Amino acid sequence: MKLCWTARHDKWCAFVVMFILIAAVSVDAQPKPTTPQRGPQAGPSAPRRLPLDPLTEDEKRAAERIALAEPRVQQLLGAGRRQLVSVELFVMKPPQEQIEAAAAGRAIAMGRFAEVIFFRPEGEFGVRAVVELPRGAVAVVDRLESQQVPLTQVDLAEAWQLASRDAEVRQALGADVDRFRVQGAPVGGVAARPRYAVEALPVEAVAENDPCYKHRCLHLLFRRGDAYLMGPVVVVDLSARKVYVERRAP
Amino acid sequence: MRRTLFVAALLATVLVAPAGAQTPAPWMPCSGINLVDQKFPTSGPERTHWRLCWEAMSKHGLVIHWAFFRPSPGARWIRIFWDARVSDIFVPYHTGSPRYYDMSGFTFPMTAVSAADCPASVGGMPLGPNVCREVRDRGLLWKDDAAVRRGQELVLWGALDAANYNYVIEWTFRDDGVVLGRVGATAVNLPSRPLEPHMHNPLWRLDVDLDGFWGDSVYLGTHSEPTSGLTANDTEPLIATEGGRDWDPHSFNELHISDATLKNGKGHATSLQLIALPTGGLSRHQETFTQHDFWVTHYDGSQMSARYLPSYSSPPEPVANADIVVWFKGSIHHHPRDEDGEVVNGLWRGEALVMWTGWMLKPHNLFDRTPFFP
Repeated sequence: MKLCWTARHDKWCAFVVMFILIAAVSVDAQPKPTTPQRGPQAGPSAPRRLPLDPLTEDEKRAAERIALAEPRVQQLLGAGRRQLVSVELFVMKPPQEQIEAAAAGRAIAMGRFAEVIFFRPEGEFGVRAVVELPRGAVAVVDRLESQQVPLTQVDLAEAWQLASRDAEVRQALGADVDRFRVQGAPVGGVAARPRYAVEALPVEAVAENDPCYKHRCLHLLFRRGDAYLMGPVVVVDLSARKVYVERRAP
Repeated sequence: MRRTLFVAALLATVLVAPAGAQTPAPWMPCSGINLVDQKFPTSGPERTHWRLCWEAMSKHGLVIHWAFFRPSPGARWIRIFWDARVSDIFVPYHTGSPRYYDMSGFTFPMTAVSAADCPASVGGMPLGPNVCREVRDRGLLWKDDAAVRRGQELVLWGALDAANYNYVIEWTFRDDGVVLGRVGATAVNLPSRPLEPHMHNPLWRLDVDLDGFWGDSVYLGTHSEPTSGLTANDTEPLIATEGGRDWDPHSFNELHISDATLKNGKGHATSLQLIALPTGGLSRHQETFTQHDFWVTHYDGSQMSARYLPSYSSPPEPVANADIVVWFKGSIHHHPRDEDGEVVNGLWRGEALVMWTGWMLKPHNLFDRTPFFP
């Protein structure tokens, strides 16, 4: 500081004082977390992920792998067929003092979790595992009722596979039947829709005498370009592996 | 020399003082495009400020994870949300079937958002492939004869691609601390029954953590004005235990969410008022979870599905001075019309124009005086 009090350097010094003061309030207001994330993204070239940043594809794959290695998950899923339903970011509230620290501007270590849901067709139930990614550990395992497990694009593909072999569906769709395709999985968040597209809505029957009551059913919709076919009404019961066709007049 | 230094220091102080007087920003657990930091007004000295995290999810669409608001540059940042999302969209048709669960029934993706959805000319900027951010004029904030102030708002929206339907999920953060949540139903009527009336019921799960998750309580704002007399009375009984509550348009029912210790500079208790903004009405159906408009539950991070609200709140736990979650069910009564589309050669062609329902979360005694008043 002695430099600042010499007449030779006072202008330079004034500039430095101003620069330091301005720089002090211009730094990134987002502090760095105190605990490094050791998840699947960790590595010299991997971008740093904060606890509530969206899961990367690598993290989703790692979460699935970690969940499947968990004995409680293995026991519930059994050795038969299983289906991955979803891998989503899951948030757990840290203790009160951590929340207060974050509100005051201090970085906190709040963990980074993924909720992985599987469906087991045999017996029709789901398995939910909450994976703590940095530790590579499973924090929670739950069994879900079938109704608690949403249907997916995989179910739609299976439903269309069943329906497209059904003689009544083939007759109703006519020459176009083999042109229809299930919309592909989203790429980069955007799904490409074919010109002849099969889409689906989940059916939830309320009446006990409805074949879809407590079954996993999809109502298939057929889109041609920018318009939908008004019929046939095709409902696929994935539980019973049956196809129901109704020709409805508008 | 000393005079030069003094002038420089004074200049630095003048330049830096407005920023230096600001309270430190809260640490946010998100980064990049998922961190939104918006001050108001958008140009000139800051008056108010929002800071929040968002995520585009395949199950719930556009979700808000954290949200903080600062009512003035020198004030503390106040947490508003831990998490806010649309939990489900229940769609029963008038003939009794079908009865779709458009969020919990299928893992629908979000639609793409392009510059056509989100033009820069109206303050739009796509955030990634699925979400649009708009910062825009919102009309009058207040007017008093010749004196006037226009307001501004930050809007984040994205749409769920639920087969024939698109659901626009919109979150608005206004310069006066108000939050608006809306869902809009649009795209194509059910192709096999394009003329059958039906209801779209979005159900929001709002994990409001006013100034932190501890010590929050919820009250049922109720207006009473018997037509046999001239006077009116407003009450706000405490909601002591979990369960559903009803919205009566004549009673102006609202949920008032307060914190045990949060007060404004005048020492008045701060609250947030959850106000229904229905378009026409709020429906009731056979399903128990649809038989109330508001629900209050104790926080449980695994309880995300509105259709299970009756079981979440049974047996009812105490929710006074607790970590609470509030839920609201809106309704869109869709009575098809020719404007929705038409039958052309066995195809249904046309688009149902966007129909909205939603709510408002309004600060009460968060500011010390009129915001944006000279």
